[in-house]
Amino acid sequence: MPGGEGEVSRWAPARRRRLLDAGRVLIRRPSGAVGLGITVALVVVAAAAPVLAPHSPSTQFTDGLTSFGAPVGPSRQFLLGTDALGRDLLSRLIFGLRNTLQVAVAANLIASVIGVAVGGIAGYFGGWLDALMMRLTEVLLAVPAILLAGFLALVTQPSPTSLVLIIAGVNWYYLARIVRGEVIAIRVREFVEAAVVAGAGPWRILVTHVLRQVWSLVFVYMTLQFSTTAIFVASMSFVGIGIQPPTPSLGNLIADGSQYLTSVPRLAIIPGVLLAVAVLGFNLLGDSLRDALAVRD
Amino acid sequence: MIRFVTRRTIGGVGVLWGIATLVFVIAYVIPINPARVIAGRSAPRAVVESIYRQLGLDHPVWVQYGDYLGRLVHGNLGESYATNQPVSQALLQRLPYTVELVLLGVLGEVIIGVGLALVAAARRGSRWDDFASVVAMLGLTLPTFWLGLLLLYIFAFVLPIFPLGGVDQSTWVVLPALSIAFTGAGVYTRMGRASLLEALSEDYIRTARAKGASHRRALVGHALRNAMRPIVTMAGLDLATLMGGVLVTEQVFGIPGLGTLAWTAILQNDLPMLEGVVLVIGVVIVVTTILIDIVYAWLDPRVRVTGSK
Repeated sequence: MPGGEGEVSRWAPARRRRLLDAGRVLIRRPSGAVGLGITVALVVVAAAAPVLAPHSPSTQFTDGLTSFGAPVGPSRQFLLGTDALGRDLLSRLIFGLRNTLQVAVAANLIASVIGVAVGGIAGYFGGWLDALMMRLTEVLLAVPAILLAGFLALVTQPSPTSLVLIIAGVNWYYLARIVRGEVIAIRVREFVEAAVVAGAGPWRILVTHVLRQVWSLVFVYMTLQFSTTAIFVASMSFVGIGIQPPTPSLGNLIADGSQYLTSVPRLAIIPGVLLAVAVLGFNLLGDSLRDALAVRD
Repeated sequence: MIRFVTRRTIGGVGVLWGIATLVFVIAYVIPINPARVIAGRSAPRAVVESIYRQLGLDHPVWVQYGDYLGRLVHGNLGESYATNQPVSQALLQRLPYTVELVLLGVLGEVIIGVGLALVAAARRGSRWDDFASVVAMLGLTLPTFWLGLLLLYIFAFVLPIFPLGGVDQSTWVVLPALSIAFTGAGVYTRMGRASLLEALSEDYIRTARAKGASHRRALVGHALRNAMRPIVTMAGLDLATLMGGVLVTEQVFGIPGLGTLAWTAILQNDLPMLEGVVLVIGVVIVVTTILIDIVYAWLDPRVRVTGSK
């Protein structure tokens, strides 16, 4: 249980104080501060992409290629140089970060909602519903998520919406199993019995009493899962089933760049560094949040 | 023990049936006409319709489902829409590359992960401990496919030690296995360190030390043996994730394994081939998980009684 919160959660001042404490713990730790800093910085860059990017990500500049048709190196006009089609790499990087984060955030949110709903219902109601849902997650866990995503990508027309739904569709089951376990443990506690005696219906108890106990766990899991989702989005784009070119994403920038690995290595290396920094930031933040909110593994 | 094995095997068959059904459902709702894919874009309507009937697609859905399960039980995975090659034949050709890569990847992952965990637990709070946690964090942070590219650039292009992709030279497996091992090791380092430190605080370690065992002997001989159990479980649970990583890594290094087969099948709308890859990987994962469970139950009798992992 997250810090025996059950007894105090109804008292708003205590809850707020606990959040403030957690925030203070988070920032005081160097890794937490660094993680938070990286995350905030990247989110700001992604949100302000149209303002920050020096050029349009899709414009092919005539002076963006040398007379031999090769990309030009970093210059005052193109801070990180251009890509193989004469487009500004920095601008594509900024928009690629934006597109990747958008998909990752949306998919992660939807996956978490599904995970909490399935895990909560299965854990609270038990019985055949629980058995059915848990068998389903067992089947899904035995298929590599990226392969299932590839299969689903065949079914749907490639679009950002279908991509978000596919990624959410193959990433909710771990959380569902975690939440189910927690809910089964919470279900038998006194305050739930008290709510039953007081005449609250099962849905009301599940949503307002039981699930409220797992929020910090879910929050920490979502933060940690965010890095996994970002890598997942990039991997999908890399094998050609994710965000489709010419729309830039960190994954397809790396994939495009990998074709010029020996001649212009920066094209593949720079987007990878940005992806790694982003993932590092989310991981540091998630780890520190877990410690600050005292959620066990 | 026999009851335990039987129970796990029935469960495994159930999961395989679930995967087969999932694959069927997705393939059934797919907005692609297989007959059109086989016949080609410009084929006349009559040809497409005759192929449609040949494939049995005009039958009701439950008849199709029954036929499909019947074919699978007989090991018949159909033929590729793109090349007409039997799917099982293509899978057998590609499987060895993927298996070799997975085995060496897992081996490397556990060696690096457990090695770092030992160093960290032996010198808790020292610079070595910090070093191990930084390496673990790096592994968790770097995307496998990008690390693969980086390794290719450094060790195949700048320093031409290994081949630049492909499987023609015998050393092809080194760089892809390393990129899988390094990115997967972080989880094992963290978990191994935690369970080693927990084991080190147990009474039997104090007994061993009191009887004159050195710190190293207590750590490697006694604590490690107990700490290996959660690591084995983790390796089993992690198998699907690991296979996913391998499938992507194949693309980076130009390895003609199951991943490359799958991504090509997607580009060509080659449904039976993709179904075959999903099913064969499902079989590999389910069988390996059962084997790990059995070994685990054999190591630890408590598991057999409760049946929990």
